[in-house]
Amino acid sequence: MKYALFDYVTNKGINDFKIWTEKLQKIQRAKLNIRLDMLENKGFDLFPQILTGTDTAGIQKLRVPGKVQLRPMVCKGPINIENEFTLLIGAIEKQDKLQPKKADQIADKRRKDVITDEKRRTKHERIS
Amino acid sequence: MKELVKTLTSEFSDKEYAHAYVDDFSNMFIAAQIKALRDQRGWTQKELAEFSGMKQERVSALEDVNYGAWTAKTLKKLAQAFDLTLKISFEQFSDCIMDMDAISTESLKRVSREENLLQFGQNEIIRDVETPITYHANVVTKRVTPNVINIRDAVTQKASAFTWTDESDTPYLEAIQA
Repeated sequence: MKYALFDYVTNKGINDFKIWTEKLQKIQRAKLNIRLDMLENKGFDLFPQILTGTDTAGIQKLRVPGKVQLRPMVCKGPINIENEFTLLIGAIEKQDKLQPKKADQIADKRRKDVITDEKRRTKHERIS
Repeated sequence: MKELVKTLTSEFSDKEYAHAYVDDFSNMFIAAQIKALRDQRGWTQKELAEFSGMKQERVSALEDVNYGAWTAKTLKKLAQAFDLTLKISFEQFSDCIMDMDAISTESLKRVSREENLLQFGQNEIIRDVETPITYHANVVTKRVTPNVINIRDAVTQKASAFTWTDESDTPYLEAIQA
């Protein structure tokens, strides 16, 4: 099953996730992109551990291995739960702690923003 | 997915990026295939661990798409447990792109040795029967009168019924008649 990917945008129309991705090193971007590509094109049935839960219901972290453990926060939908994912905020994990702190809670607030206003997200912008 | 194939073909012009991307895909592929093969056989992780002489925790780690520290020795153990052969080879990047396109739970499944060889043997017998038909059909298509519409029907007829246009066809004609 194919999924559509979206990026959250701020109330000023800024794509936060794109900016976060642009700051990553090339190898990190490659590892992020393979995960996003598989999520988009194959879903998570084939690769179940690609997404894991957080302390916040409805918010999952995309697990990207590497020297720096990338953990962008993701939610299903939230407009169409069945076939969409929205990338809400870029984050990393060090010693089981998220950076930025409470990234999952920030993501949840953003998820609610998108539910309220569909314009608070845009089609995912790939950075390679 | 075709769009992704195009994108990757372009992105992989960067060597560092291409290797990082494909390296992670390889890890994901192996993890997913171990899980798919275990599910196909209806085994638990504990059972696979017993059959391969590992601990269950190790099997769990190997099935995790975020794990990349597997060794050929470990994979050989799993191959033996699944009654499969392990094929390790160097591949071109385009092949990897096509693998990404094709990967699915079904595409990762493999039948074990006995079942596979049984199927393989049967297919070989069928191929042995079909090869002369195909060969004759090619001859018919190329060299026989255009009145023949159904090639398979034509093959079952006596070859002498056709009009041959070239003296050098004689050996083929004799072969078909025989």
